[in-house]
Amino acid sequence: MPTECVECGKRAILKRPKNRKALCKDCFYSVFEYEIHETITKNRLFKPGETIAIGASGGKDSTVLAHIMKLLNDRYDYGLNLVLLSIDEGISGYRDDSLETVKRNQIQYSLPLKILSYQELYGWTMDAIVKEIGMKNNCTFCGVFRRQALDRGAAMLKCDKIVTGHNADDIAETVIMNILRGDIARLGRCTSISTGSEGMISRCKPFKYTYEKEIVMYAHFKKLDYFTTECIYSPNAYRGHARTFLKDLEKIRPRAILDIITSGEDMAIKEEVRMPIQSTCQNCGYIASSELCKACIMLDGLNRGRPELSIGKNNKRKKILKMTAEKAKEAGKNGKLNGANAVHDISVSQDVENMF
Amino acid sequence: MCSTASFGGNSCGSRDEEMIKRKTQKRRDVCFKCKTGDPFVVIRQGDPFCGTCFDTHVIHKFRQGLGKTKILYPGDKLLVNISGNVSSLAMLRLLATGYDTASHKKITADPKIVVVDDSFMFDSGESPVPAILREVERVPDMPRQVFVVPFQLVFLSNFRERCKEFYEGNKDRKIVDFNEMRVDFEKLADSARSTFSNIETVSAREDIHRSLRLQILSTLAGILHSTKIMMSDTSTDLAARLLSSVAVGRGANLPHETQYLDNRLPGVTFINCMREFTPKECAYYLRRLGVAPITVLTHSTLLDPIVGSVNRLTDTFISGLQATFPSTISTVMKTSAKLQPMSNCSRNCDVCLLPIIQREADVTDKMSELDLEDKLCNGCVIALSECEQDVREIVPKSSNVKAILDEFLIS
Ligand SMILES: [Zn+2]
Ligand SMILES: [Zn+2]
Ligand SMILES: [Zn+2]
Ligand SMILES: [Zn+2]
Repeated sequence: MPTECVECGKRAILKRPKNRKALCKDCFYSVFEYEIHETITKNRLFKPGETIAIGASGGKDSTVLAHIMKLLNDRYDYGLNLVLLSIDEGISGYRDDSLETVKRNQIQYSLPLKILSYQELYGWTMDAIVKEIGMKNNCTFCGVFRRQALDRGAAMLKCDKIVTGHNADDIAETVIMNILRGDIARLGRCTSISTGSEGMISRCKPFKYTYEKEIVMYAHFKKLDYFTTECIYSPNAYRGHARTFLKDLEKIRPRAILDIITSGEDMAIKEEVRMPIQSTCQNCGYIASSELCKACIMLDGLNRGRPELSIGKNNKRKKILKMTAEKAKEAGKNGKLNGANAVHDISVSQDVENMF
Repeated sequence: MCSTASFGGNSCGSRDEEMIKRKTQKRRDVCFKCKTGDPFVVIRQGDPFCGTCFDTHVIHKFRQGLGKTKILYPGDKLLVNISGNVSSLAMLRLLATGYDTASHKKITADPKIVVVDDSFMFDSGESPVPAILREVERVPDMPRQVFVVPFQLVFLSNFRERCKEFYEGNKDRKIVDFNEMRVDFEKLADSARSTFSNIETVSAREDIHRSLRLQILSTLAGILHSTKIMMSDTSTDLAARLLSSVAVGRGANLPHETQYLDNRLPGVTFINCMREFTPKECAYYLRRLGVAPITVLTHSTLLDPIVGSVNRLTDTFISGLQATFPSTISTVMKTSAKLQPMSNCSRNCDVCLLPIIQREADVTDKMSELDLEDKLCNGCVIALSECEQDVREIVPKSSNVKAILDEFLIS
C-alpha cells in the first residue's frame, strides 16, 4: 500500500527530511513555503516599501530563495522591491557558468539584476589571488571579499536589506565550527536571523530554519534552474570535518540541525570575555575590528606581494603596518595605504540608474 | 557559492602544524623536566617526562584545580563518584595523594566513595563492583567509606526516604551496600530494563541514563548532608559533552555541563576535577601505580562508532579531530570557559536537574507533542519525545528533584 500524505491523505511522494513526515507534492510545497513565510513574519524581517537585495549566486540556495521571495512577496503582499545581486569572484569555469544561471533567473522571475565583480571592486579576481597565494587560505580571502562586495552592491542599489540563502545546515555547521575554533564573538552572533551593525545594511536569512535537503527537494520538484557544481577552490579540511559530523548527526536524529541552532541561540557569553570592538575602517569606512577592515588588510598584503601578512598574527602585521606608516611619514607623505584605492575608484552609479 | 568562506573561513590548522613541527625537533631521550630521568611518557606537545616528574606533574595539576577554586573545606563530606573507568580510578588515586602524611598541603575533606551499579542494564553485564571495591581497598592513606547503590533504585517509589532510612540504620559501616535494602531488586531491574527498552533511540537512552545517575548522586548527597560531588570526566569527555550537548539542544546549559564547577542545582556542586586531564594521562598514571583498568559498559559501547548514538558519534568525531589537529580539545575547553549560564532560568528540570530557561511562547517551532515543557528542559523534552508514552510518564514522575531541593534549600 502506498504511503499516505499526513496532511491530505493523497499518495505521499516524500518523507520530510526535517521530521520524516510523509507528504504529497502539493502539501510539501505548501508547508515549505508557509514555514518560510512564518519565519519572515514572526521575526518581522521586512517592512512594506523596502528594497531587498537577494544575494544570488546561481546555486540552489539562492535560486530557491529568489523564487520563494518573489512568490511570497506576491502571495502575501509584502510590498517589497526585490533585486538580484550577484558577485563575480572571477573564478573561470565556475562563476562564468553560474552567472549564466543567474541571468536566466533574472528573466524567469523578472527581477532586476546587478553583477559586481571582484575585479571592479578590488582590482583582483579570485583566479589571480589563487595564483598569488595558492590554495591554502584562498577561501578566507574570498569570504571576506564577498561579504563586503554584497554590502557595497546593496548600497549602490540603495537597498534596505540583503537576504542570503544560508540554510539551517549552514548555520548549524557554523555553530559547530565556531565552537571548534574558539571564535566566541562569531559564536555569539552566528545564529541571529538578521544581523547588522550601525551604518551597515542589515542582512537576514529567511532559510534559517530550512533544511538543505528540503531546499534541494523543492528545487528538484519545481524544476528550478540552478547551478550545481561546488566551487573549484574547495573548502578547507576543517570545515569538511564539521560538515561530515553534521550529516552523520542528521542521520541519527534529523531534528539535530534545529537543536544545534536552538543551542546556539541559547548560549550566553561571560561579560568579562573581551569582544573585538567594532569600529570603522580608516581606509574604506567599512566595519572593522581594528584600524583597517579585513578586506583592506588583505588587499594591502596582496598588493605588496606579501599576502601572508594579511592572515594570522595580528601583532606582527601591526608592527609592519606601523613601520611602513612611519616610513611614509618620514618621506613627508601621509600614511595612507595605496592598496585599497580600487575600492573608491569604481563608478557604478550609471549602471544602477540603468537598472531601474 | 563557495560555502567555506561565507562565514569567514579560517585556518585552524596552522597552530597545529607548528605544534607538530616543534614536537619533531625535541629531544626525546631524556626527561624534559629533570633532564636526567628516563622518559616514561610523552605529553604536552611532545615533552617527555620521567615517571617521577610525571607523578609530580599530574598531582600538581589535580591539586591546582582544587586550590584555584577553593572548593573544599576541612571536614566537608565529599562524594566521590567512581564508575570504575580509567579516569575515575585515576581521580581516586590523585585524591588519595592529598591524604599522604608526606603531602605538605593536605586535603581534609571527608571522602565518601559512591559506586552506582548499572551493569544489569547491559547484556554482558558483569558487575564491576567487586573489582572496584578491591581497588578502593588497595588505595593507601585515605580515610574512606564506600556506598554501593544499585541503579534501579531510582525507580523505587519513595526512593529518597527508603534510602535515607536504610542509611540511618547503617551509617557507621565501612561499606554501606544499598543492595541489602529490603527491596525486590530483580523486579525493579526488570522494570528499569523495560523502561529503557521503550526508549526508542540509543541517544535518548544514554541521555536519560546519565540524568538518572545524576539524580542518584544528588539524592545520596542530600542524605549524607554532603554538598560536593567529585566527577571524573576528562578534557576529552567534556569536549565531547559540550558538542553533544549542543547537538541535543542543551546549549543553554553548557557551563554546567562542561566547566570545572557544575552548579546546576542550588546547594550541590559537581566538581569536574579531571577537566584538565587527558585519558592518556589517566591511563599512564594508573600504569605508574600498577592499577589495572576495569571494564565498564555503556549503552553504545558495542554499537557503531558513527551511527550508534549522538554521544558515540561525538566521541568519535572529537577524538578523530584531536588526532589530526592536536589543539582541538583545548580550544573547545577554552570556548566552554567563556560561556556563562543563561540568566532567565526559573526552576530545575525534573529529569536532568539543569535549570530550565524560560522562553517566550512561540519563538521556536515546537516539534514535540509533549506537555511537559514547563517541568523539563529543552534537552529532556527532546530525549523524552523519543520514548514510548509510559516512559514519558515514569521518568519525570520518579524525579527526586523536589526532594533534593527541599533538602538543600533554606526557605
Ligand atoms: Zn498532501
Ligand atoms: Zn577597509
Ligand atoms: Zn624527570
Ligand atoms: Zn532536563
